[in-house]
Amino acid sequence: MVGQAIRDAGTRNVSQARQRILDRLRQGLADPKLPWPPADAPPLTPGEHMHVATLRAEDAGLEQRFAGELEKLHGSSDIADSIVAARMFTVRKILEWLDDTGPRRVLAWSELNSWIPGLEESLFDRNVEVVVPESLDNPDTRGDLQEIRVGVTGVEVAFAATGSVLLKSTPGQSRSASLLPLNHIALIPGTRLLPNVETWLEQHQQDDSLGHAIRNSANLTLVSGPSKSADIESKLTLGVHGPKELHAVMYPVPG
Amino acid sequence: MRSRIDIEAPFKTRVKQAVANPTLADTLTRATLHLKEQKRLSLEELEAQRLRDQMRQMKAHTLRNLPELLERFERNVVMNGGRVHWAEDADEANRIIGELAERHDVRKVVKSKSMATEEIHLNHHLEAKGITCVETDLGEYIIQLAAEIPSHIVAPVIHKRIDEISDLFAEKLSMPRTLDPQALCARARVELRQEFLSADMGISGCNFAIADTGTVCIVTNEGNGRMVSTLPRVYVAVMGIEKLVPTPQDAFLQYQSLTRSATGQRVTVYLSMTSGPKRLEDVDGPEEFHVVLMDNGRSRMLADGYSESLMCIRCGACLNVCPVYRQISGHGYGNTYSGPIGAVISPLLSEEMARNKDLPYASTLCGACRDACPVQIDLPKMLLNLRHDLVSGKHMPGAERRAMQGFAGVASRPTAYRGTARAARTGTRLLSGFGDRNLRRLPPPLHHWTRQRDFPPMAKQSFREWWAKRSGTRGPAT
Ligand code: SF4
Repeated sequence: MVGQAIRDAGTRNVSQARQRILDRLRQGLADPKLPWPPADAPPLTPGEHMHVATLRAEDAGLEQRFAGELEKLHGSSDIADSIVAARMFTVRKILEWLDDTGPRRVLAWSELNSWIPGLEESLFDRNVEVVVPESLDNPDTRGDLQEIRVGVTGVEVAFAATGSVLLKSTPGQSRSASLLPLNHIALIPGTRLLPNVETWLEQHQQDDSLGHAIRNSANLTLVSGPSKSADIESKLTLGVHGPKELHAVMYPVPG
Repeated sequence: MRSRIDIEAPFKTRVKQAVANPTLADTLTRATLHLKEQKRLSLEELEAQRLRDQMRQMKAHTLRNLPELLERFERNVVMNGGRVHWAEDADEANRIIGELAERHDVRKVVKSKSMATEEIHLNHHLEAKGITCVETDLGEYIIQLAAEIPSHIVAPVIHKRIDEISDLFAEKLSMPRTLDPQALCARARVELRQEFLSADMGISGCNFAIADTGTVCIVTNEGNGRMVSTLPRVYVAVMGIEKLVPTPQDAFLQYQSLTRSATGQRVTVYLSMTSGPKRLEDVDGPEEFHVVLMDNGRSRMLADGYSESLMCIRCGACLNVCPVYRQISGHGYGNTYSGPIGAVISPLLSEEMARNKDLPYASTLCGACRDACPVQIDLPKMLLNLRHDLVSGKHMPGAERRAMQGFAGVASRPTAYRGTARAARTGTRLLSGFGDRNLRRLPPPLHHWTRQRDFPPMAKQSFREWWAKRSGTRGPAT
């Protein structure tokens, strides 16, 4: 069993290190006089974990709370009351960011129309090219993409209590779209907006899909506001590596 | 532009240098007070104590089951398509990463802030192989430009003022001088973006990793953690074996505890969770994902009774409340890990032992660190235990043991009285065992221990004044 694991680990000559480390830990833990950890150290069972950030009585709704939190994190948002309004808000923001100097291109997830029907056509009408790379392996492609100033993505889910969006990497959903451009717009259908991360964890725990939800994609990223730093004299600076602006558009899903 | 504090110097000299630099102390006080205030505001609004209790329970459970959790984590990383490497010490970790780099013809590495790689001096090792290492945190990038090492777990350039940074950018990047932080930041973005795009390997530490899913999590505000784990062909995460949490729920509990304690934020900007290399047809992401599980003294710490400190989530809260840290800065500790937690773990980590026998004395035992700690690690108690063990020879060579035996009893005795209402009188009683001459030579811990019990937490005499007086006499712990 152990031998299997070592082979699986695909490393050479490490059986000794692995075995010695585990042996030392086991020997240490076997000592009854050990001051710490306690012999009886029960886990936190699922469902026992506290909700760290919660909604408040005065919250008008999930959308308002999300908007308020994101604003505190130096992001911005629109709350649309229809798909049509969502499309309008999205296009308007993108055009504002593109102004007239840079290339009229956005770096996007595939199938933008599945997030907001008609969005791709609207952008096409405004002479904005939607770029969906298939791969970033090629250095030329990478260099080319650097010029794009706006990224457009959906979300796996969003959390109102912290103003956060969870992004999942899949073949159609690049990490780059939310990472490389200076501006990022995230599209949040109402059905994907939850009170907090704990709600999401509990949902998946209940139908036994939590492990899958976490490890099914190579990368999950929780994003809360634009990239920032306070490394210089504790003063806020935005857009250090990731986007300098993050804008969310929340909208109801018909039916 | 070198640091004015020589980190190779003995502890006493380093403190002397730090205290002799008034700008440093002012900047530090301002910055750490700012962080403290932020933290207070955020913690007020939640059930802070419940979070601390749950964290402590979760971390105790993790330690108790660490061998099994490590095996489970390894299995899951492998199932996700990643590789796991075990390193007993710094040399082995460096060798593993060096070999990986060679195998992939790596010429340039981009890194996001990592105490674990600082601990093993990875950059040194890779540079000796002709590999360029670029630190990509804004703070660390500045540090690297200035050829220094970080002074604070969370905010590495906390000791530098903006005009000094501007001078540095002018000198190294030929940038016109400016006092606008945003302009400096924008310049660093451009410089570093080129590095990300041209690097062959990304290396990060790990804030925590999920045993149940084989997921490595890194927490950043700037986004460089995402960059190093996304853009280069090969991504390597270096983690101490204590960094595991059992489940995704535990991970998000720790994440939120960490952000609140570290910087007073409810969330950081980014939490990147990597479960293996890029999947088939993914647009981007590394082709290879490696995890280096590093012991480097940790399993021995557990066996020696110091495993409470292995619950540390590296939030830096204990640094921000520490009166000693505020006065001597991270460089005064001369080490990767500074502040109260650094004073405990640095002498226990393999390589650093010899240089760090003084560190357990770099504390006033005022207890502020324990109260600030999100895992409620009893740092003052561990410092006392460590002093005791150092003196009794458990961790040190004979000559140093003899030098310290003079105050062995004193240093270890306060534990027996802690928590009693009569702490002030206790202090007096302990002191009465000494004549005048000895009193002058009293080691720092007891000196301040008695003061702190007699007076409110803010000491009447600053560390600076105290040090000025003390350095006139010969302290025993040279
Ligand atoms: S000892 Fe506690 S307060 Fe200090 S860095 Fe570790 S977790 Fe934070």
